[in-house]
Formats: sequence, structure tokens, C-alpha cells
Amino acid sequence: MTGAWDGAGLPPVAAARVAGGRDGGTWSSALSTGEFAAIRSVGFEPVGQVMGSAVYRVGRSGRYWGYHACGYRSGWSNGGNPAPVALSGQGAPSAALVQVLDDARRAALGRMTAECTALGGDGVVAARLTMAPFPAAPHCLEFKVIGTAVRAAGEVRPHRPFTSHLDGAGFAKLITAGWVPVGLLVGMSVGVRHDDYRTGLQRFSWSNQEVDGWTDLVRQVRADARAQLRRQAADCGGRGVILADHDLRVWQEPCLTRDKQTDHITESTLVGTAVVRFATAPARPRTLTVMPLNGDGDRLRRRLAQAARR
Amino acid sequence: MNTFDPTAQGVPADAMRRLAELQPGKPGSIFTSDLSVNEFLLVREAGFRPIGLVLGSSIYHVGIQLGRWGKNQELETLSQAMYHARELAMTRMEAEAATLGADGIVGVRLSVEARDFGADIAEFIAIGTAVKADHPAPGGTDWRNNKGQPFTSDLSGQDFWTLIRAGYAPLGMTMGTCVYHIAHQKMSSVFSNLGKNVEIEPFTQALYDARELAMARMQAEAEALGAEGIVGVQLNAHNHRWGGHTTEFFAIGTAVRPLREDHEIERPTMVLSLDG
Repeated sequence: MTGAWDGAGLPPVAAARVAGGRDGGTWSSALSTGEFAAIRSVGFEPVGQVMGSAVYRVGRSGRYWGYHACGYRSGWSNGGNPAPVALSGQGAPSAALVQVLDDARRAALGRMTAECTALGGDGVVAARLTMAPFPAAPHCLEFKVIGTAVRAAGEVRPHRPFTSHLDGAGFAKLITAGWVPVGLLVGMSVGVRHDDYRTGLQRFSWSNQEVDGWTDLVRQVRADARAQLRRQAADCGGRGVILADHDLRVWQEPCLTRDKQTDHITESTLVGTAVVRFATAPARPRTLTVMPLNGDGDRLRRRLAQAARR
Repeated sequence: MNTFDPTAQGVPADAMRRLAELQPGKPGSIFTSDLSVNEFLLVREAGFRPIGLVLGSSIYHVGIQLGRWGKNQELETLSQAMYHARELAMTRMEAEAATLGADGIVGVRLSVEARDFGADIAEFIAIGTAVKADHPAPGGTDWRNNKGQPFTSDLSGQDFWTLIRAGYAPLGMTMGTCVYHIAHQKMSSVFSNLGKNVEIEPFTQALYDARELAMARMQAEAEALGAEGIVGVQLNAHNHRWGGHTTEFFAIGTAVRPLREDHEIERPTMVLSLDG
């Protein structure tokens, strides 16, 4: 077996596998036949399945972390002013947590693109980013990203492989329309807000009421996550972002500064792919309206799926 | 037959060249869109550019409703809560889009999420993609609706494309809601129907009344926008968390106006797909 690994570059077994794939020339991919055909149709070839993984310790509990400190210092009624929101994007204690998650994702993505480069690929399509508890140790999470590396026909190579969550068909449509993916991005934000006197009043009111403090908390956290995503898109030179997924979690924690009081914590995550237009796109084929003479079950399935989403 | 050869045309090479020329950190306007790739490309083809993801939300506490156990009636407090909270979310989303200078919002989804805030508290969210038109609407009119707000539509990118091609424009989403309490049966009627398969008229009537109220409210909203009609209407019954005899009827659709006199789209090509 191979020796110890210091964390730089690829783990020895991955490096060996990639080197073998490069010499042997037989590639593997998780693409379906349709996706494979779609990618070929726009002048790209799959070169192999690539992955990147990183196990990080992410401690969320204990006072040592204190990431959910709400920064609330005033009295119970706070003179009628609403409690502030401690946002990770504005340097609240939770910024450290967001930073760790971000580093871990970057490490996984970096290893995947390293494999892609080693295989001679120009980018990765159908990349799936997952975060799962590592069973062997508490507070450890495995960040994994897996996708299929593709190589463009022609002599031009990008400086850095692109990464994208789009499946083969989506990637092909994008290229056909004159857009190219740049990178897979994750924008994340954590916000903490102390449950103040006013929140309590609204919460237990007899009449219909908006709980405006909580609305504000959720709004600010989402806005911050979107700002992070935009900033990352600008950093990699993208012109637009196509979202893959967005998620919002809310939970309650006992307040770290005031005994017997509570805080609410909100965590928002946005995953998307930055895209950029390449100028000399061929004239777009006009979309053709068709009336299928079979597959009438599709529409029903779509409708049902739509109804389930609501 | 399609004889377009991307490799010969240099498409992959162009794409890679563009990536090689990227200038990271160059400030510029970046759009975010939560449309699928298909929808994104169709919206572009319909003559609109996505300019950003917009959303509005409201965390809302639903008050206490007093009702009579044995009477068919609308539960006004709950109806009002459902309506007011959704309206807050929609208005905030529209305000975000107006700030971006959008002409409209497509692919809007309205949802009610039970977050971890407590039993009678829910988050009402409206989320969509703000778009800006490349050209003014035919006849030199504005794309925005008669309230000067960006139009909103819950149509998918595909439906939006078809609507524009057919010579209609969306004006806004219209909704109507009604939370209704269906009376419990009186003992006497339970006994008289015991073991018989019969219609229970009060129940049927309750469902009719509630649906009618929800539909009429949606209609009234469309009239206020000066719409010709409402497309894509969905009428859903939700049983949120108010017990067995309480139902919310929620009607939602997109109000449309005509852009031109003829509403022809070219005849679709018949296809028979060979993969099932």
C-alpha cells in the first residue's frame, strides 16, 4: 500500500488511479446514454469520472465555539428597539463556522479539479456536492463532490477546469445557446437574533400578526447568502448564476449571554453554477414547437410534481 | 435535417477560449436565476433577460379563531391571515424586482413553510426570477402592469414563452383564499343516515361555498388589474393544521392581457418519440 499523505495534492491512491486512467485510455462516467450523446453533440468528450473529498472537524456545540452568540447586550425591553441580527457576512462569531464549511468545500472541489486536470479534462459536468456526517468520529463531516470530467475538441485549453452542477443535457443546451459554465459556487450565511420582548408579544398575540423581528432575521440571512454567491461569481469572472438548490434552516438555541432566554438561528445555503457568454456563438436554432403523439403521461407527471412542490 | 457540426464550427474551442480569457474579480452586473437551463434559455428567446433572483417573505403568527362547532362558516381570521401574509411576501418580492428595474418576475412560487418557530407560526415565501425585456411591448406599451409594478407570473419558462409567442402578456398573479369550517353533523342526522350510502348535503354545500368564495376573490383581483383572463389557475385545498373539519381553498393563477389582435403560434410539428 502507499505511504502516508500530507494533505497536499491528491491522495496517493487517487493519483495512481488517475495516472492509470490516463495511460489506459478507458474512461468511466456516471452519465446516462442520453447525457453522453448530448455532450458529444456539442463537441465535448467525457474523459472519466472524477471526485474530491475532504473530512473536516466542524464543532457546532460547546461554548468554545460560541458561533451562535447573538450579541444582545441590552435589557429585556431594549427601550422598544428591535434586537439586532448577528450575521456571518458582517463578521459575527458565526463567520468562523461559515469559513470552515467554505474551506472544506473548496478543498473537495480543488481535489476534483486536480483529478480533472490530471486526466486532461477541461471541466466537470454533473457535479454533485454532498455533506454527510463522518461515521467514525463525532463532529466530523465528509464533504464530497463527484462528477464527470469532459474535454473540449480543439486546441484551446482554459487555465482552470470549469465545474458545474448541470447534467449532460443541460450543459449541451447551454453551450448550444452560447454560454459556458465557469464554476460551482456555494453561498452561505448564518444569522443569530435574540428573541426580545416584542417578539414574545407578537408570538403570543390573539390576533393575526407578522412577527417582524423574525421576518427581518430570515430576510437578512437570505440577502447575505445571495451577496456571498454574487461575490463568488464576480471572483471567478462569471456573468450570471443558475441556481441548483437553496435551503433554509431555522432553530432555537438557549441564549449564551442572558440566562433563561432564547435566540433563533437561521442558516441559508445557495448552490449554483456561474455562467459566462462566449461571444462568437453560432446563430441559435429557433425553438421548435412540437406536439408529441405519445408520452401523454409526461404532462400528468409534471403536473403532479408541480402540485407536490406547492 | 440538422447538419450543424459544433466541432467544425469551433464551438467548444470558443467556449474554452472564453474561459481562458476570464477576468476574475471584474466588477459588473451579475444575474442570479433559479430557472432551470431550459427555462433560462426559453425566457432569453422570448426576448427577456434574467436580472436576478428576487424573493419576499413574512414570518406570520396566525391569531385565535372562534367558530361554532355545528355551523358551516368561513373562518375570517384565518382567511385574512393566509391572505395578508401572502400579500406581504408578494409585495416585498415585487419591491425587490422594482428596485432592480425589472419589467416582470417569472417562475414565481408561493409557498407556506412551517419553520421551527412555533406551532401557529409559518413562513410565507414568494420567490421568482426578475426579468427585463429587450424591447418595449408591441404598440409601445410598458411591460409593467397598470399599477406601475413589474408583472408577476407563476408560469414556468416554457409556459411564459408560449404565452408571449401567442400574443399575450402576463399582468400579475391573482389569488383568492378562503378558510372554511365544515359543520359537524348533528346527532339526529347521524342516526337517520346510519348504515345508508347517501349524500350528506351540508358537506357538499360547504365545499361549494368555500371554493366559490376563493374563486370570486381571485376574479376580483384580476378585474382590478384590467385583465382579459386568467390562465394556469390552480385550485388547491390545503388542510394546514387546523383540525379535521377546517380546509383552506386557495386559488391562484396568472392574469393576462392581449398584446396583439391575432393569437396565432406557428403550427406545431408532430413528433413521435421512439423512446417511449
